[in-house]
Amino acid sequence: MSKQRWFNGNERLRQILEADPELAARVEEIRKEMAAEDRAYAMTLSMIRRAAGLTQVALAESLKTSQSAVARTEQRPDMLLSTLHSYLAAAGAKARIIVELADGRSVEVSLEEASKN
Amino acid sequence: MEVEWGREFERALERAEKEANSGDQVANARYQYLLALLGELEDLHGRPEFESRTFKRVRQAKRYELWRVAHPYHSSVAVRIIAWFPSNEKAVLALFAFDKAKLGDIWYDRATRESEANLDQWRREHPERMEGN
Repeated sequence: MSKQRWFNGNERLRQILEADPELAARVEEIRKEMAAEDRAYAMTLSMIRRAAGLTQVALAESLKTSQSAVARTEQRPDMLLSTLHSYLAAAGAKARIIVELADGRSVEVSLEEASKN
Repeated sequence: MEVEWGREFERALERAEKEANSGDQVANARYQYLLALLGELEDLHGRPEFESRTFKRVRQAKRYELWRVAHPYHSSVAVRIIAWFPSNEKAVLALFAFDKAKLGDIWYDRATRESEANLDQWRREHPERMEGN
């Protein structure tokens, strides 16, 4: 198989954006939208913490972990129920899971109980 | 982050640039979104640690940890880039696509196969640039 040429993307992008300031400005606007969406994505847990009047450092002290570990938890799209329960408990919050069964009945389970199973 | 791509990616970028300059508004928007995604990759300070709206792992990928890079919803534009991070300083971009109607699971299956073949080639040609070497 013949060797292929590889391109330096950083240099290529720099040239494109420098050649067209209007395009560069539009690209920057899009990137601001992207940053806003990423912040919203990570907001659910941090909103609960803030509503409890806690900083990441304060919550980390309750959890006996580091501030960076709290920050990482807040950005995770997926986690163990026990991790979520610990986080919420440290923020003074409790969660309940409502399961709607196929026959229309609802079952309510506390997250604390669910996280033990 | 140092960003690198191969000949096919470069050709596709040139086509996107040409179409954007033809006056087609959708093509122009696609190109802008593509450049925004490239900017996001360039500004990374290491491999993505967690998934976000912008960066998500490609579930179909088995041999490489591939990430798809995406932008906020747009009614007529959907650009995706498939990237791999051989180290915390480097992103190799395997391919990009912007056919909104085709960006489903079937596309990801095919994109994964093509990306992995492309990245196999990058690894063969750059053994010295793999992390740990």
